[in-house]
Amino acid sequence: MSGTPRSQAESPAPKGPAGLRAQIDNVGESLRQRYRALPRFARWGITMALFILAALLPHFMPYLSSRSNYWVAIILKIGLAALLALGLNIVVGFAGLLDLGYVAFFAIGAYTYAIMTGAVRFTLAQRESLPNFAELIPTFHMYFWLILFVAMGVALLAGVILGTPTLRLRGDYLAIVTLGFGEIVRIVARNLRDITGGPLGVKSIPHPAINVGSVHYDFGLNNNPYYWLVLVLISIVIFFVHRVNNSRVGRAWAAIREDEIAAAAMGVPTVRMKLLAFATGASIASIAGAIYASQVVYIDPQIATLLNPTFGSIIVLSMVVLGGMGGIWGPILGAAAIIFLPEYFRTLGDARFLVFGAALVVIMIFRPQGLIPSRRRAAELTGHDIHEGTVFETQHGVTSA
Amino acid sequence: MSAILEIEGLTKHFGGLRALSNVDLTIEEGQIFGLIGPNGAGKTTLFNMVTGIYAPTAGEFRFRGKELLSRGVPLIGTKRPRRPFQITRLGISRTFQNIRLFANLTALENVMVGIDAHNGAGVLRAMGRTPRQRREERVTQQRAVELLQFVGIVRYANELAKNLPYGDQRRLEIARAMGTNPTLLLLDEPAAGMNPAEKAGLMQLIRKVRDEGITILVIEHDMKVVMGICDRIAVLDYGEKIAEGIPAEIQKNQRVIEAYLGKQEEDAGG
Amino acid sequence: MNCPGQLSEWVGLAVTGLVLGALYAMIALGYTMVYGVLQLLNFAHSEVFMVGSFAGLYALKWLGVDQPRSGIGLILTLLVALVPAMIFAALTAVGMERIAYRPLRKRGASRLAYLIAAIGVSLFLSNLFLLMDGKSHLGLPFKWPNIAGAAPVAMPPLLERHQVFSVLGVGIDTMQILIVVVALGMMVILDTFVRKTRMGLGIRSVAEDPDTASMMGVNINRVIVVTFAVGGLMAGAAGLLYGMNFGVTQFNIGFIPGIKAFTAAVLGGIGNIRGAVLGGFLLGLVENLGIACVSAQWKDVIAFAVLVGVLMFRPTGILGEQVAK
Repeated sequence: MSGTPRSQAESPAPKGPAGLRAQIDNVGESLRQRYRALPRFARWGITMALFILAALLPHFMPYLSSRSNYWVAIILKIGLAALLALGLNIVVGFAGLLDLGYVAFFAIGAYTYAIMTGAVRFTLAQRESLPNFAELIPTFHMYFWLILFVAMGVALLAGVILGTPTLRLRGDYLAIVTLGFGEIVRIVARNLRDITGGPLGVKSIPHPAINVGSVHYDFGLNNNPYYWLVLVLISIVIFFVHRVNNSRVGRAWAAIREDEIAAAAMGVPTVRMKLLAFATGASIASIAGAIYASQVVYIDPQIATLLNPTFGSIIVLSMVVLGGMGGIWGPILGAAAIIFLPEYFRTLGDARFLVFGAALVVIMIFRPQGLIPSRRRAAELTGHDIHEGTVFETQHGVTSA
Repeated sequence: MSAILEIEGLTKHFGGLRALSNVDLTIEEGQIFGLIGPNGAGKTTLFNMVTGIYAPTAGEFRFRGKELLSRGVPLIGTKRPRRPFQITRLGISRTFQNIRLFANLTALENVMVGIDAHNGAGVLRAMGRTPRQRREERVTQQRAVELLQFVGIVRYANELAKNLPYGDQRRLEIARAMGTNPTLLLLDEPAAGMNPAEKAGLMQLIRKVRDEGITILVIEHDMKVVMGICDRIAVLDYGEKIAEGIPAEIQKNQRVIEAYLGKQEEDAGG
Repeated sequence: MNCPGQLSEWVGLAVTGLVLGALYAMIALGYTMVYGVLQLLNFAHSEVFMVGSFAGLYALKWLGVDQPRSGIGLILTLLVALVPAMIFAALTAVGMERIAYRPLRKRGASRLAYLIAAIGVSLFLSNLFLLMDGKSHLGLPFKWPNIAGAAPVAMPPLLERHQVFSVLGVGIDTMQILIVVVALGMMVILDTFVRKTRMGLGIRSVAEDPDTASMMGVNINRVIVVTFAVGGLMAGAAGLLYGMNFGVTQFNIGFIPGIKAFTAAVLGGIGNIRGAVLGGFLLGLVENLGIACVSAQWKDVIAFAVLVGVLMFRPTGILGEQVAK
């Protein structure tokens, strides 16, 4: 895309709350333009600095709070959630597919890891008090990285199998079907006791470890290595997203979002593109799931519920919506906000979802593009004069004469 | 001259409604072929079938000698058309009656989407920054700029499509459709809503497009435009072809006049 | 696989299926009508259903039902309890239209925004009832009324279940008859309303082509409100009956039946009122007969499988969809 700045007339700020909003938007926009105007190495520099800052956060934690372990656990949670949000952002924000069963892929990743490391076998043996169960304790640390790939592959396969027949459907249908799929995964995890450990879950899932040459490092119970691993993955995802968005795939997704029929008429292989987004999101979720399983050591079918308070589809969707769809930093900010705020404002407690529900509605009405939207999404979601805008759309031109 | 598009016995029923009945049409390479008829005659339906949006109830059509309908899973009474994006890749492109631009993309990006049609669909390749990818992206952008220049709106290259003036939006649609490198271009009422000066400019543009080697099939209501640019015209009424010939013949054709006048009387409440 | 050997077991499953199906159908009507008019999947319709069940429950409590009644007393009590169940549900539905959906319509929001807002409303309502457990929340200085909470709340036993007659070796009891009768009755009334009244015509015309309808002088806003209200009435009645059938209600009873009812609506043809009825009964049957040979824990999976199957092979549903194009 050309590097010249957009010819965007800054709207004269109206009075009142709308005016305040517009002023904030204008500041944000000018900041963004200045950032984009920087030469490429300067932008890289800023990103690198941010990354290094984030990586050093666990070391600074003792200076920021007396309960540093607790807060490091929180930022690890934020990291995992941010991974999920970035993944869902690809599906919802870029390709415009409302996937309400996203948590299913997270669970698939977690369970694949649990199964492949032998934790399920061990758990079942222990429960049934088989004589030699102690020998089955999982110790396959070194295969962690391989299993990560396998988990990604399984989720990719599941995504393709689920997506191929369903991604041609209308948005609302897709939402319900994916919701159903999420529930099916949960039910399967609960019912197939011999494969997944059943309703009581799986325990003794081994931690990751690095065994390369003379380097032996076991992640163990320390939060820090997980955090850094997640940070690396987030960086990879950000890199990937940034590239793809500015390529013909990103353009194709934007075209599909704008007008799917016109996109197809212009040669965009719509189903394939949607599948791409869907499968990519699924892979990211499953990796997050595998890492999560390796850290918490115990998982059960509850991780696959729609309303799981940390990783459920609804929560992750809220992160994407609140943070801003379609961008890169938006979902990360959304993840941070949604995990951090309830911790900070303890009074929310079990009323968390109540507030979320109301917040979703309010955001959709007053700022549907979220906190840090991508330019395209902001234009789409606030404009009135676009084709797919109103609910009362008629199929333009395609059915008359 | 060889036939670019051959339509035989094309029929489309929507439930009880007969949108098209047994239409035969042959369009020769390099022609500007007009398709006219009163509202509801089935013109856009014909477009939709050629581009794969609907499956015909009966009949077949060949593009450059190649059958456009694939066998696939036979549904009752219909043959499955190729998917729209496949048809576009074969070389047929179109514009829409009610302008379906990608509103929140820039004019440049709109055209680039069209050009991407021939760029292959690999993700990994799309992501890479190898010299080949960079060249491809640059070439795509250059071609998009060329097309915008061709239709005369290059000054709007970085403007969001929805912000373009109406007449230029129609030109943008043409540029975008040309991006897919078509052999046959279907224009659906490209002059709708334009003033006489814009229409004259449009007629020039269409001739320019034809001179690039693209065959054009155009639906249009404005008779001046139709008679002015078309080499050959077919007339549809109530889904049937009632006349075909050169503009001079069509103008004098009794059935055509009746079809239009009859409609006028109906509309006037006669 | 151990499939039932006796015919009576199959019939028993079929009967259960039809009874549940009647309830699904009633809920499905709300989904299908709103979708027909607005192309909106009202996620929060499941909470409308839930509100109706609680309203009915407290109506029965207020009427002092602590023992089963019979005869005229039963019928009168039931009718009186149905009224608040239906009205509160309808009010909830209309309320969500006013507060959440209409502002979106005014702003020309995208489909995604509607869906997300609907999810938000659903979350809000179900959690509202979850939190009404007599404790204080959100750091507010007062205690929330104790009308729901996390645990199931028992439904006053209005109807005594005993077998009335038997078909093919299977006993049909009072509750089953009641549900089917009430459901069918309400569906007939709804069908008549939609086909024979002016407002019904308005709903159908907006479902078909809103632009033309408004040009013909149909008050779109009013039609939308009525659609939500009517869907709410049906769901509220279903809520009361559902609660009576299972003896309890809970803040989240809407979730699974809601998804199933939507499946039923899609199965019959979204936007198509008769389709919703057909879909409901059919889904109930398929779901219950489907678990004949496998354990009951797979019941929900069957329903979802039906959904996926329908959407893949016949997305317009059995009777065809009826949506504004």
